Amino acid sequence: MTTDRRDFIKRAAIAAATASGIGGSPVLAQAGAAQPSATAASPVAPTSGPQGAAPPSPRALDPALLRALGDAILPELLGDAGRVRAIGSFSTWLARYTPVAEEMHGYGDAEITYTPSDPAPGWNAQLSGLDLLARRKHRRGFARLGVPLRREIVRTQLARVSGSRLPSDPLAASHVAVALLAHWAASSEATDLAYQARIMKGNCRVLAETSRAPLPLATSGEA
Amino acid sequence: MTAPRVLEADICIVGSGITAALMAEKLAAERSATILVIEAGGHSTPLRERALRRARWMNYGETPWPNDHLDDQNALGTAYGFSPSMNVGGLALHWGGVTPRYSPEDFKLRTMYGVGDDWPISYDDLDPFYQEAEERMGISGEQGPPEMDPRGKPFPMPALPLSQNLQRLREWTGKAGIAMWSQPSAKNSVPYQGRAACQRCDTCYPICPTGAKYSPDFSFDALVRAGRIRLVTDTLVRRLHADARTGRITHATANATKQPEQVVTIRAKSFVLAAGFTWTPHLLLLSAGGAFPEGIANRSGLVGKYLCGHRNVGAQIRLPMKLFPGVNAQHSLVSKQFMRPGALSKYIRHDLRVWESSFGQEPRLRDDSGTLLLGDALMDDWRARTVKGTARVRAYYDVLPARESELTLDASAKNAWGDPMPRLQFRDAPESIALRAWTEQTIRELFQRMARAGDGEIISSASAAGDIGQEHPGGGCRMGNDPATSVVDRDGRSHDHENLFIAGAPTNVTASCCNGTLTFAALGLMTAARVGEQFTARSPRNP
Repeated sequence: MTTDRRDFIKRAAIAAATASGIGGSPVLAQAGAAQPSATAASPVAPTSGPQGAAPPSPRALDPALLRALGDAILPELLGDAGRVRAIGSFSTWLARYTPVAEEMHGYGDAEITYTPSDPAPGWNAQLSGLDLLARRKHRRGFARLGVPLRREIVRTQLARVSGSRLPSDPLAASHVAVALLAHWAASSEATDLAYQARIMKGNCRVLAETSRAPLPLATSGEA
Repeated sequence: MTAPRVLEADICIVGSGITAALMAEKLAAERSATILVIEAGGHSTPLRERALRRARWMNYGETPWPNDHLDDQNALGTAYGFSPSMNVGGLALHWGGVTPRYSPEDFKLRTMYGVGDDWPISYDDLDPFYQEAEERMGISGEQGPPEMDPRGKPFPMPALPLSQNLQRLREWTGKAGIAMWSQPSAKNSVPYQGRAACQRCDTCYPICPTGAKYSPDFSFDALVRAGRIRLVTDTLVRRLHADARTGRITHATANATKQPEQVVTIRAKSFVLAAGFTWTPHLLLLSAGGAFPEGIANRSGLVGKYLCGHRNVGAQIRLPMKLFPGVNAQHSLVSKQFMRPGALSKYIRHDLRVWESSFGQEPRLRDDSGTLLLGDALMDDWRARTVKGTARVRAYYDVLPARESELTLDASAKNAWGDPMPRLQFRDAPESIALRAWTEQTIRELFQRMARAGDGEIISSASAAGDIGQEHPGGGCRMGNDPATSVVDRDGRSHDHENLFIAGAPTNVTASCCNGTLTFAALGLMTAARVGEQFTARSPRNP
């Protein structure tokens, strides 16, 4: 296949994914496709992080609903600031995602594969689905519910998500709630909190310190 | 119509992977000869862009080596172990930098154990070239027990330090009666040859962002800058042409991949094929015609035969010790205890490696009862499972190749010029077929014994899948003393063509039970020494 042909297939796949809104909410499909309650036009401000060099894209999730979701499902021990960071990092990660980019073909693997289509339309639809359910059951938007009620709605939506493991790759998540958790859990900060030590997984670090046990976290509270 | 292009040199090296890089370095340093390196692909990610490419890979799984292959050059069949990488640096751009040597037994399996075939060289013959490869690449290593880990000289760099995780795991394997030490690696433990020390970024495979891991493009960049070689990229060598009377290779023909109609003719006194276990025999078979109807270098009919590799058995063992996975995740312990078993009543040889692991400690969406974990409940569940540690263990074991373990031309898939693509088929020799189940069971019993020694338990076990291919593959142009049973001699020179040399992986008779790259490179250096004999030594008067 020539490079031109590959580029054509890539462009066509992006167009098809955008048109179909893949991963769309089954709730919306049943309820007649209500629109998101807040505009999706303004991306969440990027936060710092090793996201790479790709230019920002207009891809974004409804910031109010995403924040409401994150506050409901991310660990409380992160604190408000920690959850904001985690949500911002997820948004930045999504904004810089490039669908149908060539994936690593592995050491000794003949197959060339490509990254999945844009997940944002489906994830936005799922956020809208959470909002729609909140309005139907509680006569208030999802973001205006308390955390227990928000969790109840999330549990309802994730009942059909099978498996016990969080995917290591957010792009493998079938629901935006799982994607947000997976993205946070894959971070170096989350691992450090779990092991309560400054491992700094995935960061380049001084070789000489390899031999010592990682330092304990200063506190086991906020990240 | 694009004008034909003619390239001339004393030595033409086809391919620019790790074997080619070290050969070019050696020949350029030692001989007064013009050296031409021909690469079918182009340049991939330069060092200055590797940190950003690493970030894209970590975040999104994007390849750090975009466009490192030609879309219509790929292998068919049981292609696990094969990579389509075609670029300056070859597959070794994304190697893990793990550099064990084969053991002395590997070179005399028939004599010692009555299985497989002996090589025409011994470990001692190869030792100086192992050393040279280690010094040229920069290997950090720990001398294992001398009776298990023989070597003529010390490693060029101190070992990568063991993490606290590996220190604790080494205490555990000691209780199981297994001696283990720091895995030799092409990663700088100290600054070396202008490159920085490793910063344990944990992405050696697939990309080192700092240059601490040896990469063949470093050699090529330096050689080109110094004017010691000519590197021609984007040029696919498609045929070798030999004189019907003398057998000498007169020239090669190629096509420019970005101008497919442009024919490139390459003339050289000596040709070296360093294009790996797939593309080297592929080119020889494609070159069939005239006085050589079975292909170049193929009077024995063995070009493409005896592809070799190995398989593995692995397990995850949970142990009652706190470990911190992620400290230096790609570095491991290694043992050659089972590669050097002494006398055997039934043949089995394997290596053994141990890594830190986070298996079984990953964050979960649901607990064992199926309850969804949200908020602090997720973190509480995660923390509770970090109290114990996990060791990943793996053993590569010997697989002896059948003659029918082979590469053939498959006319059902052709490239832009109509050349049939290679089809790979790995087949075990009868003795390996007979031993396979017992070998894997014996290794699993070893893992059980290791688990018991640490009051641990095996929480996962797996064997390399079926017949999808083999790991660290080589062969296809095996070396030997007898032209009837081998393709090249002990130095990699074709039995049929006095100025044709085959370097590295394809010349392997068997593939040992450990990573092969260092051995491929050492064999290439041995071949380079022979190639160089035809040319004047460099000196101050003869630079």
